Amino acid sequence: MIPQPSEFSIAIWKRFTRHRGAIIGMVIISLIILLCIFAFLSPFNPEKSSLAEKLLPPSPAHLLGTDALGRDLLTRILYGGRISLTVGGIAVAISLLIGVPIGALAGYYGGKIDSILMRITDAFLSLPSFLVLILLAAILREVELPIFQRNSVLTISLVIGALSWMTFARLVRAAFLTLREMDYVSASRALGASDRRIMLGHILPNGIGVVIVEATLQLGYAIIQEAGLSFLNFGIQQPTPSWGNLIYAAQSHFTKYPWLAIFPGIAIFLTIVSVNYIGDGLRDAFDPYKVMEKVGEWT
Amino acid sequence: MFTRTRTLLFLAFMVILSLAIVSCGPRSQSAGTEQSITPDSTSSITIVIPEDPPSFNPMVADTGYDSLVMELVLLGMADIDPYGNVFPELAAELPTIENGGVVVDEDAGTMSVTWTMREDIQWSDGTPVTADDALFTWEAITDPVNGSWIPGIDYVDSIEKLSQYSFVVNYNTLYPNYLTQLGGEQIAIWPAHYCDLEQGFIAWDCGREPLSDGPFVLHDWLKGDHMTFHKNEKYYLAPKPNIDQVIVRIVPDDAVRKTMMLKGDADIDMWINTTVAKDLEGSDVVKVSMSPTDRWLMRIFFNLAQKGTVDSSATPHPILSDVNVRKAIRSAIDIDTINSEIYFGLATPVWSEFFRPPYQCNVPRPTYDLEAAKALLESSGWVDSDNDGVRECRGCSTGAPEGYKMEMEFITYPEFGEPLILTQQLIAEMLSDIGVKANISVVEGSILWDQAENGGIEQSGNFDMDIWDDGYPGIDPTDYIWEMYSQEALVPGFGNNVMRYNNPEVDALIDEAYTLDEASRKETFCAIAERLDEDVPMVYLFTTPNAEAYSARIEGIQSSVNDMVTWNIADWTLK
Repeated sequence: MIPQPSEFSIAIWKRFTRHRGAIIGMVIISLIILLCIFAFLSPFNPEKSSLAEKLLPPSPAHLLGTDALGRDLLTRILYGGRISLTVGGIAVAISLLIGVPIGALAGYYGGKIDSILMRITDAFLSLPSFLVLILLAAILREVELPIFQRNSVLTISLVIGALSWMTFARLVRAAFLTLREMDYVSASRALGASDRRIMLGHILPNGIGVVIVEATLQLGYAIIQEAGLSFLNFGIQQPTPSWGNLIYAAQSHFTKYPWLAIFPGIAIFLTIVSVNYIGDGLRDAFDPYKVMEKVGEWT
Repeated sequence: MFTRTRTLLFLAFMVILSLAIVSCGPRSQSAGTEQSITPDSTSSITIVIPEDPPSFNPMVADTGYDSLVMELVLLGMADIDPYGNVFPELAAELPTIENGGVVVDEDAGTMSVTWTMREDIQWSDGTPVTADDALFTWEAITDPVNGSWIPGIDYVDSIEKLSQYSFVVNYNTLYPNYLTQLGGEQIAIWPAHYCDLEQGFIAWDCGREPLSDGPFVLHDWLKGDHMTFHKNEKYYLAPKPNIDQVIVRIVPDDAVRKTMMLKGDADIDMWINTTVAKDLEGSDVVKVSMSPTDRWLMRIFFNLAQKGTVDSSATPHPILSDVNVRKAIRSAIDIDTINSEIYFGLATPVWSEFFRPPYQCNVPRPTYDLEAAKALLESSGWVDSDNDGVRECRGCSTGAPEGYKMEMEFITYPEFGEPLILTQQLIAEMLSDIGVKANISVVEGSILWDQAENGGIEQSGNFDMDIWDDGYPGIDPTDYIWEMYSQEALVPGFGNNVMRYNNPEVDALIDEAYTLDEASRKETFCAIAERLDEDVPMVYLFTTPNAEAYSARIEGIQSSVNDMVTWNIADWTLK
């Protein structure tokens, strides 16, 4: 018996909630996102210096201490989280926008289209991604465009997203290659449905699970990439905080004022581990055999 | 979960296995290298620098590290000590009017300088250093295809050999900086019999594998790792140098360099910033040498031309072309606070290009006055009519459209270190207090200062404001002032007037500075200082000390702004 959509969703949710790591990850990431959203409640301005309070250790007044210009580190980490998570989100969205159509077209049509698109994908995959990231960031930094200004969130997101879509393309292609042979696709085609309708209306929704799983993993990857770029000074510029540039700024103080690097490092660590566990949980949850097994138990 | 655990176990196993292989296996090549550069006697010192010198020829890239190693192996006609005194190297004596070495034709406004060289100096292969080498060097520099630009090059009509050890330089003007034109921190005399003129001055192999007439000879150079120099047994001041071996190690991270110094693994860390200098205070093993005078003047460069253009008359900057705006920015910067909070009071506030002896001008110090700054902006038509904290053009005089936001990019370079990064942020914050939004950018110096055809930000005019430290080498500011402020030097690639500052009165004064009359020169320089104070093409902020960290076991080190710390390495001794 084919499960109804509601049963299917419930099965996925049940399966997901049985993954303890994913639930803990979900709680942590939700907490981080909430704290970042409500960062404006902090009494401190993240960009305004307070020279009389520079390089203070953690204390009740400044829970995570202050930086070299006396700015509250906790506030800067929370505002930095907004930037880092935004970069991650936009980068994943850009990856999806590029990768999913390429994978869908390649998988659905096959033949020469598949060959051409997959060779392009292979070419991108063969690039040493972080080096190319630095190169692209450096080039875009020198080009003044109306939208993509030097080291802006959008520029950094674009650079990361433009080099992270290949996995999506490959996954979606694989899903389409399998699903296009399914009976319901043949039936749709026989009923005169257009290719676009079949791809978007029938195949993509059934292959979206792997995309969602990959998106969570890519989110963590993009945050790390942003941190790496900012650490190398190609990313978000001060005084706007990002987790990466906070660690970059802490470099010269690491031995005397280690909290400047440790706390942003913990924020990155917790976020990455959390999204990875969520990804793990989603992968298990979307596993069709396990889902069908669960639905079968109910029916 | 099982897969994850297994992967972690596998990774842990691989790490342990790798460590076991590394520790039990035969010595790797790098380990061998490490062994080979370990000082094997007490008369060996280690200098740590963050990057490889591009070559031994500072005219190629002028990173400072090239000058550092050039001083170890090559000599110029004359050099300058930390106190501004020129002393001969290859020259037997310094040519002056008094000793007949300089002959001035007052009517024609020209001069000729006769250099007589020492006859006891030879290259490390035993070939004597002669006037042929000096003429060969000049020929290489002036080669139209492979040559280079050096200060005063356009003022030399010809160079003629007089004898094996003497030559004359004929100038088409009175050139005050003649003593160090073929010496100083940037120019060395190169061996004619060893360097290949066909390869060109900038590219020749001898720039990377030089023959030595200095105190040391290059023994080996492993790029990215180290250079080893051995004592030059044919050095003309033998038995100097007093140290047998110099190792220059490449250590990019300044924190690692500092730790190496404190642990005794390095003897000299060049160009330390004030944070490191402060950290080293009170150490028994590491001392800090500061130059007796400052050179590096931190300054904000204004682009008077519209961003992306290079003609301040045809396309004036929509904000910065108004001198009142520039004055307002100057008034809004609290230099004393920056000094005390970021530079621990070690910086010296400076408000004129002419702050070093012997050319010091009495220009009144601009005051830090936020209200005056705001009033200046208001009077120039820059008001915050929408109360968003950023002023807009409301009838401003620069030609900017109505409502144009007072928002600009503000660039600096990261190589200076954290103090400058913090300075930039603090200044941006101070400017926001008067309604000027400065968007911070940090761009590598190599990109910031590159030629326009390579995308150099300053040379191509692709900036609004930037902040970095600069200052003239040696003791004569004439060439530097020409390069920085003359109309001729605002052409990309032809000078450093990246502000595109254009004042015919200043041009005329710069021309007047080309004289040997010292009293007149002082007067001229001070007149220029006054014009610059009025026009504010840049804001002078403060000088930072030129400082070097050195091991307490070395004696004779004296940091210098006129040269690299190795300027007198032959005289150094070890305790």
